[in-house]
Parts: sequence; structure tokens; C-alpha cells
Amino acid sequence: MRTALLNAVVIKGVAETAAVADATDVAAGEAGPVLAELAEAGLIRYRSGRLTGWSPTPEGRTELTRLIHEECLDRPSEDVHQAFVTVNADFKQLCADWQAVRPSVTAELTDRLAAVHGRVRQVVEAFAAAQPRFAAYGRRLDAARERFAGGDPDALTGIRAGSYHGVWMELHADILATLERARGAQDGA
Amino acid sequence: MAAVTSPVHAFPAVPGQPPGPGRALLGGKGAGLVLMTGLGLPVPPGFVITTEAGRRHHAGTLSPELRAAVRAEVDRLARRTGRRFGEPGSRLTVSVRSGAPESMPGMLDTLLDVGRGDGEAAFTELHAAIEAVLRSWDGERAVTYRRLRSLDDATGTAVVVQAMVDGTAGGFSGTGVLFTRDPATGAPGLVGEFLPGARGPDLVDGVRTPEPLATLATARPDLHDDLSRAAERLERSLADMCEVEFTVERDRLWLLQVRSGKRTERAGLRIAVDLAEEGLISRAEAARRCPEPAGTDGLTTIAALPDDQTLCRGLPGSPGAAVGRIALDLDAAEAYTDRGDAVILVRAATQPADLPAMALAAGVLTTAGGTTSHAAVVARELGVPCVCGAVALEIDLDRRVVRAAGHELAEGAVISIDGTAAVVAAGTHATAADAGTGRDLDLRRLLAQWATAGATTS
Repeated sequence: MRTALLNAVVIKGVAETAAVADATDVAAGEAGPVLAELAEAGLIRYRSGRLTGWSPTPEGRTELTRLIHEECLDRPSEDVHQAFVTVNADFKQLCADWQAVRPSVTAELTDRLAAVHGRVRQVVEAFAAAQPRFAAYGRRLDAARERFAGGDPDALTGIRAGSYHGVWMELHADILATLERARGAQDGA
Repeated sequence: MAAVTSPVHAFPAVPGQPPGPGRALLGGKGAGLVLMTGLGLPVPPGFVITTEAGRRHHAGTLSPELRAAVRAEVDRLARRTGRRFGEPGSRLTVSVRSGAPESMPGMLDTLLDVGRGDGEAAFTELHAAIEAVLRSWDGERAVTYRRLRSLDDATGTAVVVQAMVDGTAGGFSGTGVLFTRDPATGAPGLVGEFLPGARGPDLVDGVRTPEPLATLATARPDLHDDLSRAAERLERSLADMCEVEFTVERDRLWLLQVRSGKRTERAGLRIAVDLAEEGLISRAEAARRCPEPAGTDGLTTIAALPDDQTLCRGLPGSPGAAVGRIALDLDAAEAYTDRGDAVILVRAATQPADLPAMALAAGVLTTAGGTTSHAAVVARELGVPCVCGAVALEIDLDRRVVRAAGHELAEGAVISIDGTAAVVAAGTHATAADAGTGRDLDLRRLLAQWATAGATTS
């Protein structure tokens, strides 16, 4: 759990305890003490400026890289990564298309979102089979999609916490970190 | 409105038939077809099952009364076309299409060539088709669409049943769609496309590439003239630029749908002014149709730059211009903005951890990724200008400098970015409201005068 929480703080950059807990499927009451321990160890700090929340320290980033490398966690096959790269490109095009026409959603767009969702769920499940914490991304993507289908136009590309694109960005960063990949041209930006 | 309305409405009208009950009952498609037949334009005959009747059957099983009404209309349709429904030989088949009062393009079902079975089987097929269209109102994508557009779930859809015309019939046949004026610029004259030997759905599936309408003008000037005349009558009747779907079946033109055409904001200005000049609408109405866009004040641009002042170019990630100090991470962005200084966040590619810094920044500049990158998606959402994919820019996080075009700029140095022109310059370059082209500006001034004149005379 310690690695998962540190990972979530590094991915989010700045995040309150509740958001870190939600992203890791840990109860907020359990996450609090562990985050305090991580802060005690100098791996994260609580920001108190205009942006408040847990942030990683440079030592925390280094430690996470070491932990990911040392724990030698199971990883899905390269095919799964390739499947993500492909669906990532389709999803970002969908985001751009939606931003150009919103709020006039088209049948074509909802059909594309359904297809993208089916594909990324398979990627998430393959990662979750190797590392169970990835299951949280599936749950969060499902929730964002349901909010969008329920008529919340911000749930697809919005900047509030938990939009489909917001969760997707975290998944993307997590996949690259887990696979110990630097972001290359083929990984998308 | 009468307390009891007929569940079906035929077009062209039969003698003694009351006038069309309007869009709320006929749906957009049905109302357009009734209008076109009223103008004497060539429309395949058919009938509309009203939204009111549709609402009583949205669960998807037709009542015996509605079945009887449908049968009577189909019999009449067969007599009108000189063909027979459910019998071999001169067989009548129909299209069964949805038609909600508010346009929901592509959201509801359409079935073509219904009635290929013999005898009663053709009616069973027709009932099933009508039921499928009514049920599609409650389908997931239609429900999602209405929620996002804040449309009423309760209106329901009408169903248009129409004698089939076939763009694959052989001879000179095909299907097309046209705008009565250019939907991008508003310029007068028909703009559209035509796909020979094809049906409506072929036009949108993207497998075959349609020809521009100009090709039809060359190949069949007679048909193009018919379309031009129909377009003019429809514009006069609807007092607007129209989008028209049509099919040619063995040299004969048929119009299948008319609606107000979608257009760009630019085109909207020109069309409103031209329609007023042509006397189709009043000047006050033209002004009413073109409210000041909400975004005009916010969107800025930097003046055209000489090449020697350009630091680098990239891709247009999010429109507008911004000036600020280079910030290479969240800490720097927070430090500068705490002092009241605007910042341009400069990153290789943005990660989720950069979102808080993006929210503080006046502009975003990335060296990797294109117009669909996460950075561009988020910047557009924030309404923050963004130049992305500026590959010529080098970020040195050890020395906290950026380099490009022989220049080296330290973090904190001021740069200007233009997310529309996708250009980056060192120093402060004045930003100005982007009011579009000179002609657009002239049109806006004219419309503003008309709006004032309308307010004082009325």
C-alpha cells in the first residue's frame, strides 16, 4: 500500500488525502497515517500555498523509481502496452473532436466512446491481473463514462477531478512508470 | 390545436385533409416533407405517424387502431404510386425513418426498403420497423444525446413512412446532400456532394468518396437547375440557409429532407446580412440571429512576427495569445504567480502532475505532442493558449534554461506565445483582440447598426 500511495502522489503532483485514497482503492482513514509516514520519511510533503495537498519530494520520486525497479512487479506483455498506445491515440482524437463540437454530441461520437471504453477496459484488466491496484482505473473510468452518459458534459474532457480524460492521463502516466519507460514518440504526449 | 388529432398525416395532402399540424406533432423531418410537398417540390409520397401517436407506443407494440390506420395509408400509397405492397411484380417498398421535433442526427433508427415479403409478411415487417424506430427513442445513445443537449425526454419521435426511391436503381441514379449557401463562408450558391449509384447511408459511411456538386452541374445541368430552383423556393419559405438531402432515381430528382443548415459563425454573419439584403428577413431579424460571440473579447493574437524575432514554431494546441515568464515546473509557476507575474508553463509533455501548474499558467508551451496531446486537450478545456510540439525548443532542467534558434533563455525570462498561429517569441509582444478578418468586422458593425435601428423603431 505504501508504494501504491507514493505512486499516486507522484502521478497526481498535488492531491488531498481523499483523492489519493480514491485513486488507490484505499479507505481514507487508512491512507492518512501511511501518507503521514511517507512525509515523515521525507518522500512527500504537504503543500500549504495556493495549491494545497500532498506533493512528492525529489527524494520521493527517486525512491518510487527504485521501488518499482526493485519490487520487480509482474507486468503484462508488450502487446498490452501496444494496445494502449493505439487506443490512446484514438481517445485523444475523440477528445479533440468532442471539444470542437460540444455540446452537440453525435451518434458517431458516443459509438466511438463506447468502442474506446471497451478497448481501454481490456488494457486495464490486463494490468490489474498483474498488479491489482490498476483495477481502480477501471472503476474510475466507468464512473466518468456514466456521468457523461447521464448528461454531465464536463465528465469527458473536463478539468475537474475524475473526468474521463483526467483519469486517462493518470492511467497513461502510471503505465509508463510501471513499465519503466521514458515517454517516447510512440507513447503519445 | 384540436383535442383529438389523427395519428397519421399523409403527404401530399389528400382532398379534405386538414393542414399539417406542425413540427411538434410531425417532427422536424415530417414537417419539412409536408412543407416541400406543399411547395410542389418532388417528394416521394408517404405519411407521418405523429409524435402523439408515437408517445402512446414508445414501448414498441402498435395498437390495433394504429395498425389499421397504417394499413389504410399504405393502401393509399400503393394506389398513388401505382404499385402494390406485399405483392411481387410492381412492388412498393418504403423507408421508415424517425423524426423528432428537435434534430437528433443519427441517434434514432432508420430502415430502408421495408416490405420485401409477400402478403401479410410485408405488413409484419412494416410494423416491426415502426416499432424499432419508436423504441430507438429510449436507446442509450439517444438518451445520452438528449441529456447533454437538455432536450425533453417526453416529446417522443414521429415516424415517417415514405415510398422508397432508390439511388442504386441503375441509369442515372445516386444520392446527395447540399447546402443552399456555403456553410463555411456563407457565400451564395449551392455547395454539396453527390455519390452516383448510392443510397443515403453510403454518403456518410465514408467508404466511397462523393463528388462535389459542381460535377453534377457539368454531367447533368438539368438536374442541377432543378436543385437550384428548389433551393431558392425553400430558402424563401424557411427564410434561412437550408440543408437538403436528395436522391436521383433513373434521371428523376426526389427531395428527401430539408432543415436549417449548420454553419460556422463567420458564415452566419454573411448569411444573415445577405438574407436581409435579399429581403427574405428584416434587418432587425438579421441582427437578432447574430449575437455577439461570448469569446471575442477573450481570444487574442500577437502581431505577425518577423522571422528573426521568432523563437520557434509548434502546433496550434489551444487558441489565443499569452505573455509571461517561463516556468519549468509547478514550484516556479507558483512562485512567479504568487508575485503577481503571469507565467508560460514550458514542459516536454504534460503529465497529470502538471495540471495544477497549467491551471495557474497564462499559457502552455510543450516540445512534444500534437493538437490532440493531453496538454492541448487540457489547455482548450481551461481556455488557456497553448503551443504544442515545438520540437526545435530544448529544455535543460539541470541549468533551468530553454534554447532555440541560437537563443538561450533562463527560467523567468518573458516570452510570448500564440496558440492560433502556433508561434513563440522572446520578449513581450503586444496582444490584440482577434476580431477575425476585416470583412467579418464590417459585417458585425453593420449588424450592430441594424440591431440599434431595430430597437429604436420598435
